Amino acid sequence: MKPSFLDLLASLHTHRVDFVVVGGVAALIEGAPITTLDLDVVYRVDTGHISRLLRPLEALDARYRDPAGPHLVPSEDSLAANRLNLLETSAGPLDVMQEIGDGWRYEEVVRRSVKRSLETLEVSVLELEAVIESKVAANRAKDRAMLPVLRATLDELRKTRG
Amino acid sequence: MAKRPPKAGPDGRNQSRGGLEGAFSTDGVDLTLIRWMLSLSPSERLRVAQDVIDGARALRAGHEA
Repeated sequence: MKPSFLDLLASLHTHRVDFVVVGGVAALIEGAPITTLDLDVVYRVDTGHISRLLRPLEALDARYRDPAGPHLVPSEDSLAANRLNLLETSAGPLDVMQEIGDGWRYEEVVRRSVKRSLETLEVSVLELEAVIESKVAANRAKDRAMLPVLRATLDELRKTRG
Repeated sequence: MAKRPPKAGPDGRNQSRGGLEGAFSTDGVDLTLIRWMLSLSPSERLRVAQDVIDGARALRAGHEA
């Protein structure tokens, strides 16, 4: 299987995972002219739901991206314990996160999301203003570098909305 | 296939708008590219990004072959 954002999203969707697309792909879907290689999602953290998240990760042959290469696979324990899970899968890099920004967990993130139709899927995507807030809070060099484009996109979006 | 972005003229000006006025933000962000992206549907935007990634992979595979 070649890397495909849509295949990753379809797998999570098929297994009824509660998730919100965040980060660069969310900004892209909302109209920012940027490129990114990995799909970032925030997932609902509760015992029953984490076992549901594990199914698509197993189907996608997910492994932790580790330069040392121990080929660790995600488990219910690791998904419950790790705030950030950087994975490689048969459909490309996938970062599954418990929270972003200033500790925004799924419940907060989904409140700031919009539903978007992507081919045959309906997916929750973090709204652009919230993506910007999360990048400001993260305050990493790569996030700061992206901010002018994201802010200019938000300005243009507001103009088109009137 | 997604629509093509507006082409800049040989001097960097956007031909469809006839000049640089309004083409860039004060930060130097290309607003014509943003407007083009906003003219696409979310599915088309995702397809554009996927095409870029696929193209880069194909180029790399060709280079390594």
